[in-house]
Amino acid sequence: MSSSVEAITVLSSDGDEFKITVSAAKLSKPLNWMLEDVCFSDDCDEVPTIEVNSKTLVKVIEYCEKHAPRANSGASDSDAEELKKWDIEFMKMDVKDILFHILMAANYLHMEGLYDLACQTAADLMKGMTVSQIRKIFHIKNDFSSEEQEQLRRQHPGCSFD
Amino acid sequence: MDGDFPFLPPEIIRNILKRLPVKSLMRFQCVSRGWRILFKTESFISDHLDHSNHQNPCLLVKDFEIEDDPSNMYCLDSEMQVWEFQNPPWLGYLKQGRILGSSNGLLCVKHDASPHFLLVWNPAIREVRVVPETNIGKDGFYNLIEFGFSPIINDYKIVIGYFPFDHADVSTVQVYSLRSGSWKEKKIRLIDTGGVTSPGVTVNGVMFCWGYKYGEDGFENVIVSFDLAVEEFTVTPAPQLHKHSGFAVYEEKLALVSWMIEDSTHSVIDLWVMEEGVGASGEIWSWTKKYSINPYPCFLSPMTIWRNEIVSFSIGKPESAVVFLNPTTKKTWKFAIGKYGFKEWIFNYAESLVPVGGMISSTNFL
Repeated sequence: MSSSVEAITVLSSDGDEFKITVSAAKLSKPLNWMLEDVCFSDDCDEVPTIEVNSKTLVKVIEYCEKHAPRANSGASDSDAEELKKWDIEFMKMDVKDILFHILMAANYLHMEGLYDLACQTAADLMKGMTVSQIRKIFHIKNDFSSEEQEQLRRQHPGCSFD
Repeated sequence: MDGDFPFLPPEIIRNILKRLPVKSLMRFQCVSRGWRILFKTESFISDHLDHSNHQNPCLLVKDFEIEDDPSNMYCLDSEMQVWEFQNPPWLGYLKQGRILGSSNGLLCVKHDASPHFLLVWNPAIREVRVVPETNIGKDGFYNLIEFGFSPIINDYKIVIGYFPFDHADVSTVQVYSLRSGSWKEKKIRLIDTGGVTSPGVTVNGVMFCWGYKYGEDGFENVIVSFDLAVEEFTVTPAPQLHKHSGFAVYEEKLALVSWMIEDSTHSVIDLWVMEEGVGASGEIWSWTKKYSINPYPCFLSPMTIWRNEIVSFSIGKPESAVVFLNPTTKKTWKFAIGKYGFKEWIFNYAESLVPVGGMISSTNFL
């Protein structure tokens, strides 16, 4: 990778172009490999595609840019505390609708921090959901027979299949 | 949660589910057959436990018994929320019993009147196992009952040590295995020790407790360790301690919290950590005095170590606050748990799905 490259351009799965700084891209192993492979020379004009849709990629890049300085240099406890607060806000604001997409992207891009954060956010949201809401978001069918439901109800009166 | 939800691969779903409290998982076993089975598989239970132990370590606190006030058990979670710990109805006798040990979400409970009546209880899934009575070893005082887990054999064991009436140098130790569901008796020559006593602690499958060795100047304190996997005892000298001391776990190592009252006004506390491991032979024992806490202007009674801080209650003060002492920063802080100043015990606890192979104690888990 040329030292003169400070940011690279990537394509989302929707075909939109995004800029990501080299230091931020280092948070992801696959992105890092792409940097080394594709943009090895300055005259490289091939734009790599990342299999993540635009709406999700914006958020993933936002997360990377925010976390890059700390990941690359280490940080004090107060920075870590500040970053933790930022993470909570980041997950609160407008990612709920695309949370599962973020999860998939973080998994695919090997971004441990974002993956953990998204898993925890999903778990926290699930605590307040009903059984049928859970089935809906995970695309699960209720496959208990009526006998099994009856048996479970006997074992745990008050348990709900809805 | 609105929006569209792509199909998540099973490993991502598992990673989300392991972060849920047991209460939610109990509810979500009604989602599908697959989920119900998943919550009972050993690997999922172990992932969930690992997350619970590291990300949400709790403290279980019991106030000293006050008449007609049964709600005196509390759970403090890692977000500093205090929950009243619900005693299941059948456990009314907890009033006359006590919790002896806590490991991976399982509690070992003993009725005060009898050493032979023991229970293993997972309060989160409300499952309880009545440990079968044993009539061996009734010819002596029992002075050790410990409960611990060995990751090597993936089993929980209860160890009862007896001090024989006839002062023979052969002691009887009984070991109950949760996996096999049966008792085993071992006659051991406690290497010149007059017996072993609770409370102890289990670290990485090795149980540690106090033993008393007959020395030239009378009794001498030694540390007796019992490997739960191979069921063998070893004895090691204790470091130079203050008048009182108790076992604890610090950074997954065996630790001793040692304290005394100085000038009738202050508490002085040292934290000793066993830095070296235990070898089968040619052991390398190395106690290091890691920290000394600055004299604290109150009588403290340290109970355990939680998130690398020593947890104490203050004796003689009518407040319900528990005192936390950080050995590295030397900072101390207080936090109110329960209603009364005196705490009968404080245990580390992490809720889990670990089954005890018993019956459901209460059907109402919602």
